Amino acid sequence: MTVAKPRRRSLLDKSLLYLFSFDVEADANRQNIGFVPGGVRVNIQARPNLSRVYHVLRDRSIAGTGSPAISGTIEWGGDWLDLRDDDIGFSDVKFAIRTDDDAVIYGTYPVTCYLGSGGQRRLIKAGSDRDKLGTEKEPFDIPLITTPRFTTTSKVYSWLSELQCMGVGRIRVVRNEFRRITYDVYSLS
Amino acid sequence: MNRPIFADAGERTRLLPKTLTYGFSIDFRLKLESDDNNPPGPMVLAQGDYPTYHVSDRDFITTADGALREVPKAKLKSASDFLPVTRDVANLNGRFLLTTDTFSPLVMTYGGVLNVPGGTRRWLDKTKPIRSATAYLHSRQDYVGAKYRSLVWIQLIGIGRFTPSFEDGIHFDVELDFYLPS
Repeated sequence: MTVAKPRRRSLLDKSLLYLFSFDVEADANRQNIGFVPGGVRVNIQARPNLSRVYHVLRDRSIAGTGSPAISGTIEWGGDWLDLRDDDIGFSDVKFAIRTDDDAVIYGTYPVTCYLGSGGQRRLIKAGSDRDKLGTEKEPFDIPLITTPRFTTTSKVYSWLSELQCMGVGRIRVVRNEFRRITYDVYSLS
Repeated sequence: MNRPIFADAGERTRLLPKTLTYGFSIDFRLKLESDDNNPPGPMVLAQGDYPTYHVSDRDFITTADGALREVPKAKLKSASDFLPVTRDVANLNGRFLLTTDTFSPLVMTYGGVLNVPGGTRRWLDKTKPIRSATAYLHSRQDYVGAKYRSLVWIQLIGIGRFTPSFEDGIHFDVELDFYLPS
């Protein structure tokens, strides 16, 4: 007979360690793949060398670890976005960071976001600017939570490979165009 | 041609707001499908009754956006994980199938890391003292009903503990807390 284990009455320890932030300027010429089963596919690329990776406090090391802070540019990045008919956006993002000391860090993360009721239809709608999401004065920000993992051959940043990270971000939409993607990256610990 | 972006496109000096709201826990036992002569293979759910629960027995939680959400009432029906192993870290990559108190099952597809003290090989050496490994994972959910539909819109963050035991093969007692990030 299986004896049920007593339920825990306390949570396991957890904390978030801030690592770095990045801002990605999206290329305005997105690839509209179009209607596919279940939704619409869109590919978005980062504008190379305009997208920065930095520490918001400008610290030179990661607090409490002694590891060097990560500073550089997003050398290349792409977002394969699936805007589903049920107003949920799924995507798989892959990107490469070139640090100021010339190391390359490869990052990847899945995104799940709710576009709001009718959000998918509004995002793909053609027509006048009035019907589109976001304006220059009042951009439409979609909150994002992601879970990045990183890989690098650099010994300086190899510790990143062993972390499961969490990204807290926003994607800024102006006239249905994805303009700016910004994230703070934390390590789960 | 790329248009200029925003006048305020400089680097930020403040972090974006963030919150992790505790959602629910689930504790269960996994059985490792391997023996002394084979490296770690797939893990499957050991026989047992594994319900979801809230450590404070709450039925509802309020997330940072002010939404009231029901704590899922479900039982873990099956679990599988292939646990690809590297030096000190094992990569978690698997699925949970839960039966809920509605007619719709809840599928959780997760990935993450398992930080193993002293390395994975040593961790599974039955002559060494047993130590727990810490799991950090993220999960996407599939659910076609209405009651827990909001779980499909988000990735859950899981914090866990894997404790090996060596009675009748290799087992892991797994404790997981799931958080709703916002």
